[in-house]
Parts: sequence; structure tokens; C-alpha cells
Amino acid sequence: MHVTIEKPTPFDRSIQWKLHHAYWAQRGVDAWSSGEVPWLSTSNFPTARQHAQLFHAVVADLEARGALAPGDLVWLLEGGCGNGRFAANFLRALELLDPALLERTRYLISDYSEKNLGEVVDQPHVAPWIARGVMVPALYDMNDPQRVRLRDGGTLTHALAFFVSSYVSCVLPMKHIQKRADGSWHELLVEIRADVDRPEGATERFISDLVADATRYNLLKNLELHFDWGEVDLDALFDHGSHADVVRAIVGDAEEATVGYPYGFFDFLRELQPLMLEGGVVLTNDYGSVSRDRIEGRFERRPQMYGNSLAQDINFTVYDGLPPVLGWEVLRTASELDSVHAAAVCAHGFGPAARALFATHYHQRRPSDDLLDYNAAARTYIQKKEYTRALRFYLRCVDLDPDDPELRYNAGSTALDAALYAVAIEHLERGYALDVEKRFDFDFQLGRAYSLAGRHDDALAWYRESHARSEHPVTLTNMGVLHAYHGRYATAHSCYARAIELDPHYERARDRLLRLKEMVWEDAVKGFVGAPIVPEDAAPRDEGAAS
Amino acid sequence: MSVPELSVIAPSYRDRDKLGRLLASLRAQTLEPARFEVIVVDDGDEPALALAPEDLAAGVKLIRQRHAGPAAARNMALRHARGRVLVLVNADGVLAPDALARHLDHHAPDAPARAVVGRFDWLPEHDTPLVRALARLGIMFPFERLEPHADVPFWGCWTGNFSVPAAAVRAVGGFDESFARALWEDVELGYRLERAGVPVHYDPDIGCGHDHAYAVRAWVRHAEWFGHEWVRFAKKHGGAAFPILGGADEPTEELARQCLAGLLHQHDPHRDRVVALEHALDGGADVAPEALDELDDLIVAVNTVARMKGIAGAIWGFDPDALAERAAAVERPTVVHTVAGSWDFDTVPRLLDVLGDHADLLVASYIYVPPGALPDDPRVSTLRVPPTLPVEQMWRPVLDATAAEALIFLEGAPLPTGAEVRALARFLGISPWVGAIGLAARQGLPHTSGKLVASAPRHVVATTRRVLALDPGGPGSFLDRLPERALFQVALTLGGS
Repeated sequence: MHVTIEKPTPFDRSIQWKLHHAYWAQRGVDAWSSGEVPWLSTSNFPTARQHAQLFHAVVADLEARGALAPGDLVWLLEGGCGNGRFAANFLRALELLDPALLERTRYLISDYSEKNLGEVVDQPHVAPWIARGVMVPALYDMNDPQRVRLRDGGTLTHALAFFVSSYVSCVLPMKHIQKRADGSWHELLVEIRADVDRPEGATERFISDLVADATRYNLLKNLELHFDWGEVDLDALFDHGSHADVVRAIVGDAEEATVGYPYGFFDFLRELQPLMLEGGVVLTNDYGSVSRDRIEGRFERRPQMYGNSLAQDINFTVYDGLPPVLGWEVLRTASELDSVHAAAVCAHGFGPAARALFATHYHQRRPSDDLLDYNAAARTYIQKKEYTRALRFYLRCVDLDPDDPELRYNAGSTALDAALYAVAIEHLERGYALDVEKRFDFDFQLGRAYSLAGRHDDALAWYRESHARSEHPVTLTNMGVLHAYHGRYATAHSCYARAIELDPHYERARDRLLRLKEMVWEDAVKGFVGAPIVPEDAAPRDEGAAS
Repeated sequence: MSVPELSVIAPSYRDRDKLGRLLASLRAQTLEPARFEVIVVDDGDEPALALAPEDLAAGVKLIRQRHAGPAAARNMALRHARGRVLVLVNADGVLAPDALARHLDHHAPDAPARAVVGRFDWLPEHDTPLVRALARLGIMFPFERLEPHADVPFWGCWTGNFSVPAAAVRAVGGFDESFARALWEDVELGYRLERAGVPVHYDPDIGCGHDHAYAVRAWVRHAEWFGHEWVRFAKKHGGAAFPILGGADEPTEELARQCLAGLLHQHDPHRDRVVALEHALDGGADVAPEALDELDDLIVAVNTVARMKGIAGAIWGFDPDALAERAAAVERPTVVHTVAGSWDFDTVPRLLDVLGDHADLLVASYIYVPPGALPDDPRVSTLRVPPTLPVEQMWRPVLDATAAEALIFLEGAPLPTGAEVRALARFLGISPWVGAIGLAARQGLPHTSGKLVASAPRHVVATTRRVLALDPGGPGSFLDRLPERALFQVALTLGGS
């Protein structure tokens, strides 16, 4: 039976938000590690370094205005820490930039989901910073901005110099508002319909089912949503009186406009102020656009979904409405070319160091975009099997973030495909040392690299490492090839046999086993005289991937 | 920018009329103004606080936060405090001119860290027999029980006139914001300070007046909250840290059950004692010396029962305000009279006489109700139930037929008296965890009293909509399933009050 689960309701009050919140509460770090929610563009090292540079400048300004004394602890809070990558990269960059400031810094890594925070603090890229005392885990809900609960039971006892967040203004409640030529204001309404067995209590049942299993794949996308606009009184639309004025300031003299207005984030900004030092700065990143012409006119607005969470692109011109109404100063990026946009807000006005840094580091070409672009280009060339060109782009990425094991892994693997073995070994060995979490199969790739470079003992040593971590038929077969090459037929035989046992359909191991029998026969015929006989394809050929 | 030595912190919520007097007393300090800063935290008052021009000129800093209680407000100020020493005051305090100087004398930079509590005396207009008795009995601000110029127990950590090194407060993690009322949040901090090696020192020469009027009812509610918040403290630090009911009690279900048993026994005498105290004290007249002992006995008894109420409520998840709301919600019950034959209609007029204006009557009839069979009375409503409905399932259609929170089911003779119906409703209000109250035999006790029993008497049974809503249904009566829901049953004996 097709029924209406939710009658036309203002978007920000739709039951979809219940699911959205349940998703975040239940998903944990898998939301990012599974790739459901993007994180690289806001959490990569160049981005984190850029923000660390701004933080550094803000601290200088705070000291200059007397809000911080040199030597004081400096507290910053990250709202919504995701998988903790940003935090780790930020502190890594700060350590390179100003080790003394790092020691004074207390980085509150926070999330509103206890599950997520509990998982993040155990991540190998996060745990060492916590152990050093620089990073402090805290439960923090941006809907309750003045309550910071440290995970060890205490509370925040110092004012914040800096607040940083990524992808939050797009996931806090927002309204989509439209101004029409007749002067009327409208807001986006959403209606939800679904097929149910029984209409009685369908809404409650539907919601409880959804919320109980909020991580089910594509749950939110499978809802049947209908959108419409309903006329509203702008002055009565919000709890806080300033919003209507901010919306008017954003729209300006446009005859018609459609604005995704992140009032939830702006409420947060206002309520956060008592926690901030005078002159403290809030920095946020989001995706979206920056051009004013993208709010002019009437058009449809639909939320975007990551996993089962709601998101919507932010047009950063909405930040332009804050200074005339609230008297705050806002610095924001303004290039549509940027993949991610940033806005910095200071209720008491920025100092000269922060202003200068924003002008140079945020308005000019951004290294984080370079990183993303080079990455994308490398992937494209790999698809075209142009490995040398792909490698050149990966090496540019490595220049931008020399300590990212994933980039090293990609560079090394691509160098192998480009038959540049020395380059491959250099990056794979460096990446192996960086990859404390053992996220990547460096040992297997190093086995390949040394094998192809002719250093078979080293290759076997790395294959053994890979084999000890997890048995895999490809690794075993590669080891068998090396043993066979050096005449260790019995060992080679047991490698192939085990590979076939693991995967009876693995043809390469079967072929190699047959070849081994031939080699043994030839050796037998020749009476095992002299050095081992090298078969025609003497160079042992490895298979490229263990998975 | 020069750094002050003291940061004076004053949270304010619904005290805007008194704040001016505090700030005036701060402007009149003998300590040079440059040596202290003043931070007022507007704890979400409506409308927002605004400072007077003279306070703005004096550099008073005003921070507004979402309403979260004094602990959160002090933490908010702590984040912005630049002074080496915090002086915590109440918005309704009035500091003596030398108070800040005296506080500062205790905190030489090289001295061991300690907290200092000064006097917090009721201003003359509020210095009533009630507050004097509360102090005398050790219930509220018992300064006379503290040894002057000595370190005192942590429970003397009262932040109306209090100083402490800021570093010490930060080191213990600030105030615990889960103590959201002006109760226990300071004593709890004192406990952690003491354990961290920062004792509380009492200096009676640091003067501060307390601009607060206390009436009996307000104090009784305060005592309920005291018990409620003690549970929070005891769950965090153990009940033995502050034995509340004369023993080393822990906040367990068993303690809650004991408190409930005490409340059922003491409910009516407690009510009478509160009225007697109001009569004796709220007029403002002095109490004759010969009446003091009797007054003290009353106060101690009321205090004990009120704390028990707060404790049981906290353990079972209801705070005193919620309990008061529920007590009001069950004040007017609906009495359910089952009609199985036409002769039952004759009972209705008698029932209405008994109920008076204190209850409504729902006639649940298995038979057709002919016009004129029931009196035309706004208190009466009718529910037709199917003949096959078992009487123990009657409550199901009743829930849909009435919005009343309190329901009294009659099952046969004898009918209850009006006093019994009122008593049933009154006792339902004691605890939401009372699942059912049945009328026991009338025994002429001095006062009406309830007793926890395994199975309540069933000919007149009072219960609530909340309890019935918890019932999953099934064969038999909801009464049989109350133990599974961990709900209590009570036998009520009507007494002489």
C-alpha cells in the first residue's frame, strides 16, 4: 500500500534528519574508511598544513592583542573529527612549522558520536598524539555548542583560540529559502511516501525501522521524496531574530534568489562565541560554490547523500551576510576552481598575521587542490597504462605530502609497472616505514620490486614478511618461482602446492607446478651436473597484485 | 595588558535585581581595581542581562551562555579568567569592602594551594527563624560547625564567598556540569580539591551578605533536590563520602525502596509538618525559646522525608520537579464503575455524592445504557464495553475513553468513601513507580499510611495511565504483571488525618 510517511514538512524538520543522526551515531569510522563519506579533500596533509599555518598566525595575533600570553597553553577544538586523519595531519604539520607551539597546543579532537570517538582514539595515526598529551579526546555535539565533555571526565577549562571543522555546515540543519519577484519568501518542503503493508502506524513503524538499522546500504536514497515550496513569513521563520536579516543581506537586491541557508551552523557559530578567546577564529571547510550568481534565480534544491547522511552544497556567499548583521569579520575563499571552500570567522576582527596569511595561502592556488588534481591525473594515466606519466604525477603528490604511506604505495607500485625498479624500491621502503597501521601490502610489493630488480634473496625476505601477515596464493607462487629459479625444487613445489590448496582455480600456480616437473625432469636427464639449469624464460616473472 | 591577580566570577540566573548590589560591593572594594577582574556569566536569563554603565566603565566582563546551571557558568568564566586566583561569588551576594583583599592574603604566590571559604550571612531582612534553624541544625550553611581559621571538611566548600587558585580548579577539571543546579556542585568540587591536596580553609573574617529570602515551601523543595543531587554525588564518589540519612548509604535500588516505604508511611504527617512550619515561620515572627526544640524536631523530620523523596526519585529517574508535576497530574482521578446489570445504575448517584468535586466517574457498562439511567452530571461519562471483555481487561478501553492520569477501578462492594478516593490519588503522587494501590481495611490509624505489599487488595484499586501504558497485555490482570515491570504495590490504610 502506497502511503504518505511524512506530509510536506520544512526540510530541516523532516524525519530524514532522524535517520541522518542515527547513521552517524551507529556508523563509526567505517563511514570514512569504507569510502561512503569522502574525507581526502578536506583532511589531506596540504590542507591540514594550510590550516595549521593559519592557526599559527592566529596565535601570533592573539599574543599581540594580549588575549594569550607567550607560553600559555593554546586550545583548539575540531568539531566532528571524522576518522582523525585531519587532526593527525594538522599536528604533523604544526610540528614541522613550530615545534614549540605544538608543545603548547591542546588539540581537542571531538565527535558527538561516542562510538566514533571511541574508535578514532585507537587509530594508530591518532593514538600517539593522545599519548603525548597534545591531543585531547572530547565528546562534543555542535547542537549543544557550549558543552565540551572531555573523555577523561573533565571539562574544558580554557577558552579556545581556534575552532576547525570540515563538512559540518552542510550536515547541520539548514533551510532552503527562495525569494520571488513578487517579494514573497518560500521554503523547501519535503514529502515522503513509501510502500507499506499496513497503513496504521506506518510513520512510526517506518521511522523506528529506519533508525534501528540506520547504516543499511542506501537507505536514505531509497526513500521516495517529493519537494515543493511553501510560502513563509521570513521574519517568523527562525527562532533567532538575526537570521531573517542575514538572509536579506545575502540575497541583497536580487529580484529572485534561492539560498541554502545553514542556520544550524550559524546558530552554532553564535553560541560558540563564549567559548572563544577574544580574537579567536573559527575555520570551516565545505564543498559547494562561491559565486553570487549561483544563488540568483529560482531553482530546485535537493539534498545530497553520503551513506545515509544528508548533505547539501554550501554557497559560501552566505557568509557575506554575517558581517553586516552581526559585525563579525569573515575571510573566505572565492574561486570556483577550488575543490573545497573555506571560511574563517572572527567575531572581534582578525589580526594582521591571520589576514595576511589568508590572503596568501587561501586566495592563491592551493596545494591541497594540487594534491587532489595530481592524484586524479595519475589514476587516469594508470587506466591508460601510461605508467611513467602516472608516476610523474604521483611523485608530485609525494612532494606535497612526503609522509603519506598511501601516496608512497601508489608511487612505488606505479614505478614497478613502469619498470623503474630503483624508484619503486625507494618509495616502497619509505612507505613501509611510514605505514605503522600496516594498511598497505608494502612487503608484497617490495618482494616484487626486488625480484624484478634481480635481488632474489631480498625479494624472498619481503615475500616471507607478506606471507607471515597473510597467506595468499600469489605471494606463494612468486616465492615458488624464485625457489625454482635457484634449484630449490622441493621448496618451490611446496609453495605451489600450498597456493593451489588455497585457490584450486589459480591457473598460474598450476602452470608453474607443471613447469617445475619439466625442470626437474630436465635436471634428472642431465644428471644434475653443474649449475642449475635456467629455463628459457629465465627471469622469474611475478604477478603484479596479491589481491 | 596588565594581568589581574584575582578573577571574581559571578554566575547569574534570575537574579538580575540583586546583581547590581553585588557589583556595587565590588566597586567598593579596598583592593585596587587593577588587581582584580570581574566576570559575570549570564546563564541564559531572559531577557539577556545588560550591564549598567558604571559596571561597563569598571571593566566588568559579561558572558552570555545557554542556560546550563551555575557549574557550567563558572566553567565558562574559568575559561576566560586571567587571574591567578578565582573568587567565586553568588549574584545575590554582597561582599564586605575588604573581602577581596582578605581573600588575596590567603593566596601568596609561593604558598601551598588551598581554597578559602568566607562567611555567607543572610542579610538582616532575610535572617529569619527558618534560616537560623537550618544553620543551627547543620542543614544549610552551618558555619558554626566549622572551626574558624582552620582547614575544614570538603562539605564546607560553599562558593558564595570562596577563593581558590585557578590552576587548582583547572587541574581537577573544573566544575562537574552534570550538577546542573546550585546544589552540590560546589561541595563536589571541594571533594575533588581535597583529594587533590587542596584543603578548604575557613576564614570567618571574610564577610559577605546573602540577599536571598527563604520560605518553608522553597526550602522543602530545596531539600528534595538536595537528596536528588546527593545521588549524583554518591554515584560518582560513593555514598560513604557523605552519609546522608545517618548511615553509609549507597544509591541503590534497595535504598530507593526503603525511601519509598518511608514516604508511604510518612506522607501525610510530612504534609502536616510542612503546614505547621509554614504557620510557625513564614509570618516572620520570632519563635519563642521554649518552642525551639519542637520547631527543630519538625524541621529535621521534614528535611529527612524531603531528602528521601529526592533520593528515591533520583534512583528511579524522576527529579523533584517532575514528581511535583506528576503529583498534580494525579490529583483528580477518574473512578471506573463497572455496570453488569441494571441494578448497578442505582449505585451511581451514591458514588457521585462520595466523590464530590474531587473526581470524575466513568461508567463502563456491559449492557445498554437507556436514556435517563444515569444522572445528567458533567462528572459522568459512559463507556460501552463488549460483553465478552474480561473484567481484568477493562482498563484497555478505559485508557481510550478518558485522558485522566489517575484511574481508580471499583470491583464490587463496599464502595470507597470520598476520603479514601482522595487518599488514593494523593498516594499515587508519591512515586511513579507505585504500580497500584489497593484499599486495605480501615483501622483508625492516627494518619493514612501506605505499606509495600506483594499483592495489593483488589476491590478498589488505583493506578495510573503511565503504569498501564507499560503493560504489554496478555491473560490475567495487569496487577499480576506489575512485579515483572519492577513496579510496587501498596496497601493503603485510612487513618484519622
